[in-house]
Amino acid sequence: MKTLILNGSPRADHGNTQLFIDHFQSGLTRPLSVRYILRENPEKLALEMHDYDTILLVMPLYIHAMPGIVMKLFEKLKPHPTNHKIKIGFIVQAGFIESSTARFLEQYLSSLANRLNYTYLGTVIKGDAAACSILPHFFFGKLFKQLKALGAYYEKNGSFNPLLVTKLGYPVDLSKFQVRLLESPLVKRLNQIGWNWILKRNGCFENRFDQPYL
Amino acid sequence: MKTMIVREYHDFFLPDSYILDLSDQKIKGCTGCWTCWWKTPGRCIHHDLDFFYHHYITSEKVSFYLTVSQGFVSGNLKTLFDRMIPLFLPYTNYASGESMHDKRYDRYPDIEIHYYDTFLDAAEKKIFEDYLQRTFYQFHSKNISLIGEMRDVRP
Repeated sequence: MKTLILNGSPRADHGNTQLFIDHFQSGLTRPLSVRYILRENPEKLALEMHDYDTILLVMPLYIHAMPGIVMKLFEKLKPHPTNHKIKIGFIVQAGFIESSTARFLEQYLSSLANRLNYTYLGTVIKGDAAACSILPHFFFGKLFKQLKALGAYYEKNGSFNPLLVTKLGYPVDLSKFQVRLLESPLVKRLNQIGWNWILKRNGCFENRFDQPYL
Repeated sequence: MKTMIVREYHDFFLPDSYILDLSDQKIKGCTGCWTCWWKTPGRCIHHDLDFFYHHYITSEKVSFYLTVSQGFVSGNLKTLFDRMIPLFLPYTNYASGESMHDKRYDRYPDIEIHYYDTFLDAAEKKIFEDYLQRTFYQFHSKNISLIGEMRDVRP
């Protein structure tokens, strides 16, 4: 089973997506090759994807869908000329807490696989991941263990572990209790601390509400 | 009423309206640097969209004329969407029952989307429409309408 991992992040190997790939790979006995869509010619890459049995595309969620560079690759994809059934699966990391923010992307990815006559392995969605590469890694120990287990299961079975997919996708939506909590003045303030700290560090806290394009 | 046009097809224009012609202009990609949120609040590191940002935020209505690419929005349009985060704040609110970025500006335009309907089936079309509704809802536009144009009306 020849598998290629595609990193679909505009930040290539510097961001959260790379962290997800690294921890997925840590569960494998043999690392898989990784290519960075940012650094590739989409037309050439689309053709070379036909040399693999399985493609795993790992990407951030940008505006409820794939980043523009990933869509530019999708535009070049064609069904395999010899009807070799390529398998394709996706891992999406998102900033918002609830995984439902990626639901239209998930539907589209399934539809795309169908369009291309690829076998769809599913989409793993993990929300609340924006700070993975900013905060110390011990904050994300559980997530990294789950990604490792996801990798180990994939190597053994050639698919995503449904139980882990469910766990990583939790919560799908925010409960009323969570909304009340997140909207409470104290939690709201706590949530802004990280942003405000960085804005202050960068000397632009006073400008945080600027409207430069009016 | 100040109106702006973003088009991937059609060649008409409205007097005194700003036109972003995506069939002609390739948008520079979002680098994911967040400079627009935490170094130069509200300003993107690229400048190819400075006029677009101004006209988008000061228009009452923005009309899009979109092609469908591989059953979804084109890569160039998706890149434009990615580049629209400077128009919002990094802070998140949950008042609607879900996560949404706070407004940076007081008002956002109404959106009218025309698209050239080349879907393989109704399910693809629904995903496309739902996605666009969702995107502009998150972009704080109050009125969003979608109008599919059939294949034989394309100029």
